[in-house]
Amino acid sequence: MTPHRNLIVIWKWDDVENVKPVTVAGESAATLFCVSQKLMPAQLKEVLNQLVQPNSLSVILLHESDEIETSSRLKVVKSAANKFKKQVVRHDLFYKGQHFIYFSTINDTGLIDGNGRLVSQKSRLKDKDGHWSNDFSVLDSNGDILSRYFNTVWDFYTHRARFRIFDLKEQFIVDMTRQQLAQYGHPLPILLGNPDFALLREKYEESFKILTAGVLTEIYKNNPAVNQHYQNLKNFLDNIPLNSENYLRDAARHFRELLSEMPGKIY
Amino acid sequence: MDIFFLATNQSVPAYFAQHVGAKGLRMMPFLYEDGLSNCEAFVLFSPLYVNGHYVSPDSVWKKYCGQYSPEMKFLTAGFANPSTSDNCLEISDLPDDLSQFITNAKTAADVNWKPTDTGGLDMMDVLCRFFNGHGNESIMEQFSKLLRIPANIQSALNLNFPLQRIYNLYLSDGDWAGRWQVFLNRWNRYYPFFACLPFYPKFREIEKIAQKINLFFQSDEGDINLYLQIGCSEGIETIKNLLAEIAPHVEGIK
Repeated sequence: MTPHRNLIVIWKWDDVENVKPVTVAGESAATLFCVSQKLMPAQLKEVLNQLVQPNSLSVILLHESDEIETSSRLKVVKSAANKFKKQVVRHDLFYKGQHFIYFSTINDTGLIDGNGRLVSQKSRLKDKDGHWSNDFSVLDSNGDILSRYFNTVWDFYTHRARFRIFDLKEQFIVDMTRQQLAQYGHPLPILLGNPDFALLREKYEESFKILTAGVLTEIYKNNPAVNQHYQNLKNFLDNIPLNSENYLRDAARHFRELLSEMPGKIY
Repeated sequence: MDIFFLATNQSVPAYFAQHVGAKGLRMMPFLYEDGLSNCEAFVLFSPLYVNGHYVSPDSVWKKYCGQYSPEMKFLTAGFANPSTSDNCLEISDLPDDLSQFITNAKTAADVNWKPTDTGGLDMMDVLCRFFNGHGNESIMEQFSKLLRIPANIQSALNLNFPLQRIYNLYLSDGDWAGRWQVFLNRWNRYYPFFACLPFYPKFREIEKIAQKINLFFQSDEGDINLYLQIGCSEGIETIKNLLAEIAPHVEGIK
């Protein structure tokens, strides 16, 4: 049985006293839970205990507001994540309109506006050209969330796509410089076949096992360039011998091209 | 010329050193204790990995160096730029003559270049949030309020009020302890990130004082003798002053 997917967003929701579930159109096993950030820590704990069920997967996103309240709520969220390790696949803070959960008119992704609401035709957002527009909505006429908006956000947070590529890139440069490629007087095999790069290979395999081309297509369905750059990077790392000419420069370019197409911050 | 550097992982500067070594330049790890006064060139390898996060303190460092070592050559090095440009070195595309590049680099105070985004948490943003708070009081406002009680306690001590009365008047309602806790919560969340900043020694000093003051708040309430012994009033004043010294290096403080 497919586990139920709970996206739990603790935020300054405009019309939510405690908790409000919002269903996802065409998805019987996916719900957005709008949880008010005004809940006291004890109430929040109770809510999370109720929402995180054994046969479910949860992403908990907490809005970073006043520091003492954020701190006490974060403790509750961390405690729930610790208690339900198998169920809570990600917990994180979000703030200042910079994170993927906020609707981006450029990428047509995200769920919330900056004013306590899910993006609907009541929201006035600036379009790609900088004009105010009421054309955006993540809700259908029944008030359900359109599945593509929910799934994109879900996939982004559960797969930590941008972070994984960024982290791999950083590990890559550390390993490459540590091995001092120039000192090898003979051609090296490819990354996957080289025992000197075991740590990097492990990180590479772990990242690309989770971030398949299919997953990236789901997350960035409006931007085919992501998949193209992903394939380019993968082909490069899979096929190019480690000390071929300009290896580091070309690898950096592939990483950069892919990351430049993936919106949002790494955290 | 000695080139000082700050990096999380030493293999990257070691690789870098191979490119500069032949020209009589020497890579030296930056030590906070020594400061920047004798530093002619400084390379920040960014992002750094601090407190389990990738962080980008580039703009904080540039602003700081621009003020305290304006003639110093300040450069950043990373793996995020399309190519090396201005003072931002791309490690995968180092210039053929790196030594010359460093010698010709713009100074820290030069406003005609700015560090590129290396993708980690922007530390200027983190600092700004630390100072401004999230919608409530700024940290300086918090300290102004925190200092009211010590001022009252001091006046009462000068007038030889009994200690129990001082406790009843100023500490028994727990308001002051609550205010301290608000600061401490904010501090504990942010402090681990500050290890990558040029003014980290000031933060380290704040941490030491805060831990000391906290002994008073953890003790049985009302122990005015402990309050005096620890020097809580002076400690809070010192923290406020240290924060005031750091604040001008942060952009965006309200």
